Amino acid sequence: MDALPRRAADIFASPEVVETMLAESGYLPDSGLSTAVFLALRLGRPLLLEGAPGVGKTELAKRIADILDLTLVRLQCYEGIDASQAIYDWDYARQLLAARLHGESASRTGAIDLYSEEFLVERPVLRAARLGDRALLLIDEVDRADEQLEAFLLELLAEGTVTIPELGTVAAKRPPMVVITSNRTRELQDALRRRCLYHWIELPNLERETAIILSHAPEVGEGLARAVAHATSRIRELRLAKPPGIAESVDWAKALAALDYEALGPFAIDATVGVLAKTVDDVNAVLAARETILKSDNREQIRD
Amino acid sequence: MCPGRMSAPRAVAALRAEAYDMPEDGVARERLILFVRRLRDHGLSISPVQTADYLRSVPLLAPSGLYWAGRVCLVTRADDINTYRQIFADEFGPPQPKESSGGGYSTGEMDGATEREVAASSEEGVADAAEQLEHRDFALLDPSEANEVAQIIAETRFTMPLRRTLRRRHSVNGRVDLRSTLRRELRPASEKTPRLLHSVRRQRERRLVLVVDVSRSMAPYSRYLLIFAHALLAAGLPVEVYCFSTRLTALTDVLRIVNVDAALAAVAAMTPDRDSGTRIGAAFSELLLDTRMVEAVRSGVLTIVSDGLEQGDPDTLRNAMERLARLAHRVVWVNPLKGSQGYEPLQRGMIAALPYINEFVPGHDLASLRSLAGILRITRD
Repeated sequence: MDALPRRAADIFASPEVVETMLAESGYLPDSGLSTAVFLALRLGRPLLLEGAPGVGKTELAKRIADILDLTLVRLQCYEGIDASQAIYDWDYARQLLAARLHGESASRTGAIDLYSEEFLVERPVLRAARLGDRALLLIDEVDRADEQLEAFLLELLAEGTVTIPELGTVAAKRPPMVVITSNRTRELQDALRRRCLYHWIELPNLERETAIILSHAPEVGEGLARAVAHATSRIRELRLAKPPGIAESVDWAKALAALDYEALGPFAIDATVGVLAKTVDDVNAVLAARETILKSDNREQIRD
Repeated sequence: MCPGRMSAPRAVAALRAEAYDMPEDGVARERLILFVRRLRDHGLSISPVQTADYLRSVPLLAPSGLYWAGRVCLVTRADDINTYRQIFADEFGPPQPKESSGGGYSTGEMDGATEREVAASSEEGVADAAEQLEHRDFALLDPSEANEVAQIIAETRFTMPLRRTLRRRHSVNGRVDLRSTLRRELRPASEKTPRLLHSVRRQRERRLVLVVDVSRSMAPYSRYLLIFAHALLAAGLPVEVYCFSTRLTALTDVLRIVNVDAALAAVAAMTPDRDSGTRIGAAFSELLLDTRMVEAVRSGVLTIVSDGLEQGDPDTLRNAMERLARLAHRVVWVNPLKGSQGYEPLQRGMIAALPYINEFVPGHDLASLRSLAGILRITRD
């Protein structure tokens, strides 16, 4: 429990510092998220992030690694990933070869250890366990992996170690920081949840989204950024198959700026709808709701 | 502080003995422990380690961080956020700063499952009658027959269709299994000729998603399909059950109540829109908006039970069916009307849905339910 990544925890001295440093790097967290990051480091616990797709879960891990100068070790989960791809594997071909070679010269060399460091193949989890607090392990979209994989991760999450039956336990002095993201396409197991600090990232409110757009796309005027943030939040209410995330609203603002639009209008939406909506049905839904999107936007601006 | 709450669990009491730095003006540790206890009473599952993390966190944060300390350390799923917020507000007052409610995640709390007295079932089936019962339309059953049919369904034994998994097993064909090849090679005194071993993926049960229309027009039939669903769940099979008339309701949990009648009563209690009109398209669109339901349908067998008497917009239904057909491994539509002679799928809803259906079957009597089970490949030989 004392094995805190001291250096990192010293840099992130309080939630406010986390918020400021992330903001300086262009990521604008709310106070809940910065508290979660602060506590994850201070308590040495993995941080489990859930939220709608495109809300900035993966981006956060990258920024933290950047700020704290940690090696980002990324484990992208996918359906069918198993322990030998996530944690470690043995190099069977070389083992076979070694065994064959050895068999021919057995009298001279004596026994050979086929399960030694030499034949071990490092995968992301083992790599992070070895690097210890110099690494940030990002377990991305863990909900895509089969449930069985979660059980393999528990040791790392709880102890920061990896045990290889043939070799022993791999442990750095201090465990790596671990960030897990999930899009909530399936329910994660309780065993995993219990070992983590948890944060549900909300979509940003109007102010924050405007600020995010401005920080990512400085070429966009403040008026346009605000209009885009407004319109995006309206579009999210349309119940699209794939509602636009933050990346989409930023891209949209960039696209509008690139086309020299200074304000949102029906033509501007026509020209750029493909940046926002990613299926035919969604495109049609956005185009059909063009008037509402713009109208409500104006009303808000008048109220402001 | 009320004395009734003072006996915190032993594990927590042990933690309390450890020394924690508490600021003079901070919230007393006792109170935090009682707060954790209260959260547990409201269904949050919080381990002693989480409690310890929480107690360590609070002094690290400014007083305004009290809300987030618990949110981060004690809440481990989005569904619990609302409960936490309420109990926190009750215990410590409204959180400051206020949590933004931008995305608007809300939990649908459902309760009020009233258990009904169970009517004693009478068994008066004669051997000949059994044959007739097989083909008796569900809508025409008298009470004793109804009981009997329910019992027959409940006593049927089910297994699930299979799908491939990650895990592999030895096989004479399939992918080369280097791991076992190496093991075999290393066996002492192995004079046998070297050969490659192979493995194939193991198989597992494929999930079945049952969506039952409980609108008025379906009333005589939906009951038996819910009993059918109950029997599948009782057999411990991976089945998810939803029902709809105008809105979609998840039934899997209530149908796990062991007693069939109690389970059906609970279903009735949580579907106030039952026996009203039908909006199939709207209900399916709702299903498609919930990522967990989408995940349940993904590569599963989707079985829809409805007469297709759609009152909403058929286009909505068409769009929803198109996506569902892409998600699901197979789509089976059970329509009790199909059992009547001269039936043609002419209802607007049915016409919209037909292009996306793999199997279109009746479900009006026991025999047709049996053949449905055959189509779903869930009957044990």
